[in-house]
Amino acid sequence: MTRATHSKSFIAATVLAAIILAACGGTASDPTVVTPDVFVGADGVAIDGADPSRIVTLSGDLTEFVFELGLGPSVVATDVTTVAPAEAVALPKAGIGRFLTAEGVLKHDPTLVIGDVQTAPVSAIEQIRAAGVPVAILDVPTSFTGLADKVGRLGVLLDKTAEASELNRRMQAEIAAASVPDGTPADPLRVAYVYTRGPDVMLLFGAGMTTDPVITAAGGIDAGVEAGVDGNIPVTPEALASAAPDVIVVPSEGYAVLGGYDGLMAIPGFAATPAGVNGAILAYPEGDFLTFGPRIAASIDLLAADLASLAATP
Amino acid sequence: MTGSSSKRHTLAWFAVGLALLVVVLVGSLMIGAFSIGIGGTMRWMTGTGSPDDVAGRVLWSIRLPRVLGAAVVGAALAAAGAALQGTFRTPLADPHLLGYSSAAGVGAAFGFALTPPGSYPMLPVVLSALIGLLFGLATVALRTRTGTDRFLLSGVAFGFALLAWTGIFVLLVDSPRVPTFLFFVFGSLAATTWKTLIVATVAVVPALFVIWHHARGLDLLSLGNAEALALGFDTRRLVPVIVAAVGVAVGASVVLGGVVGFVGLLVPYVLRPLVGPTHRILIPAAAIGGAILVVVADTFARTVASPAEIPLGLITAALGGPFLGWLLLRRSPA
Repeated sequence: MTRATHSKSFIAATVLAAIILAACGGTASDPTVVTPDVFVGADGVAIDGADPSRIVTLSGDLTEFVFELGLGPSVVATDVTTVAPAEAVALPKAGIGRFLTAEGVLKHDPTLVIGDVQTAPVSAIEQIRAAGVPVAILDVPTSFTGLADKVGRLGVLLDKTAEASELNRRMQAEIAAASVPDGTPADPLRVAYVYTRGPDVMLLFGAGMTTDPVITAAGGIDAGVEAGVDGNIPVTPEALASAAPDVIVVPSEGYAVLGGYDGLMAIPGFAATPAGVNGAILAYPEGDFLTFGPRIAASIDLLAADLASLAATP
Repeated sequence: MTGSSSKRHTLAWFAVGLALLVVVLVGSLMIGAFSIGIGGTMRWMTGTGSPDDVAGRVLWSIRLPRVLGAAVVGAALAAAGAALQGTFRTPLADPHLLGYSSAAGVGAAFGFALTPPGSYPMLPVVLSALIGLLFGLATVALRTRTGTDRFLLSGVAFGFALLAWTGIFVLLVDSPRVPTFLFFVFGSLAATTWKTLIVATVAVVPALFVIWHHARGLDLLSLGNAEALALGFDTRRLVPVIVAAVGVAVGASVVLGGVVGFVGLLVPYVLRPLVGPTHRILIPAAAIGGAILVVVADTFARTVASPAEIPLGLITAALGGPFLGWLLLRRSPA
């Protein structure tokens, strides 16, 4: 889970910003108008006139977006992080998007492969391209504006710009509805997201992770960001002490592996946090809470409700 | 054994070896995550398959460079092992064990970090070969100062240190251009493209030719420095040339397949009883044998856990580790 820091994506974003400003100064703040004619990937590789008849998606959020844009029937394989929709989960798997092999993808005979800047290794992407199959590389956004931009780009790539605009309108409305209004609650809870798959993998998320905008929208303060965490860092007692979260959010899969609350508290540093003292641990399925996709408003909704009920209990 | 019968004997082994290499190359082409099978491979090889179908694309752009890359890595490492064993007069000399591969890995990692994705990996090969070469010359200096066991152990120690430096570098740069640390510990041919294959092969082939060209000198060196000198060979000139060629061959192989252990140890040891200790024969035989071993090992690496892969070096170490242990135990105490 490296943070998406790409100089090329920065260039692409700059170019995009210039296009937006040139096109319509008045609506530059409306992310749904981002519609350049040709898809330019976050790695700088442009794809013009993609053939979306056989699509392989390499990340769960990308799968969900492609289905939302109406191209679900064209998806022939997904990566293992896809948890929704049900039709997609049933599809063959092309491997793990972060540990790709070219043959694992090519054996599904795709006409278009859609990945993101976290798709790795880069050599596998090059091999797939060398085999004549275009690979579209999307950004991994860490803000709702970035999310809308991603959908807009997918719309251009898949020639579904109208559908993308519609999806963006719906998503932004849902996010707005789920978000807690600015300034409330008056005394927001400090929320830390700790990614775990068991005792061996324990990461504290901070700035530049998709959990940050979700926590903020749900009315919390991202304790990882507050503690100065950029991207994610291995959990240490020091890091937890400095984050001092009132609430700790964990993936429910990893939480179960640890043995729930008692298991988490047995790990040095957790019991001393306010969240540990008060038993304020929230566990959400990884594929839902960490998929920065079309269902993100539901995650905000869920977290906002849980934070409100935690705030209500003294 | 008369001269002509031994010659026929050797030629027979070469014929068998080359035939086996062709068989494993074609076999390896057929097997993979994407099922092509014998029919598809044959159609494609005979030019009757469609150039646009997915099978053709997988074969041409992924599997063929990879299978040939495995052969080049195996040939380089096994021939390098045979050359080092002759030079240092111990069957335990091996480019991995002596730290050559880890040294080359430092250069490769550095070169990769400075190479844009998709370009020819010139810089990685140059740096990897250069550091491999310099490390090789350093081991020559070590060899003249100490006995065999300490010499080998010092190689292991330096290898670990260089591996650690590579690891620190890889983790600090955290660049998608640089392969993961695993590549520098257990190797992998998964990233092989025509570009890496071409650049590495251009370095490996002349280096192996240089080694082979000095086969007679290697024969004398394996008898001992004094004997070689008595026969009119200037070992002070010969040894650096051979070791430098080994450094270049190993360096280029590391760019292609990462750090792969035990090939240089295993192959010459198995082949010596079959083709004899003469380096003019042993070096090319080891190259063919190494190619066969690594092609087979890599086929396992990419198919056992398909569509995921297991590192190539795990397969060679799983075979070679016990072999090294056995080799050490059966040697009479020095």
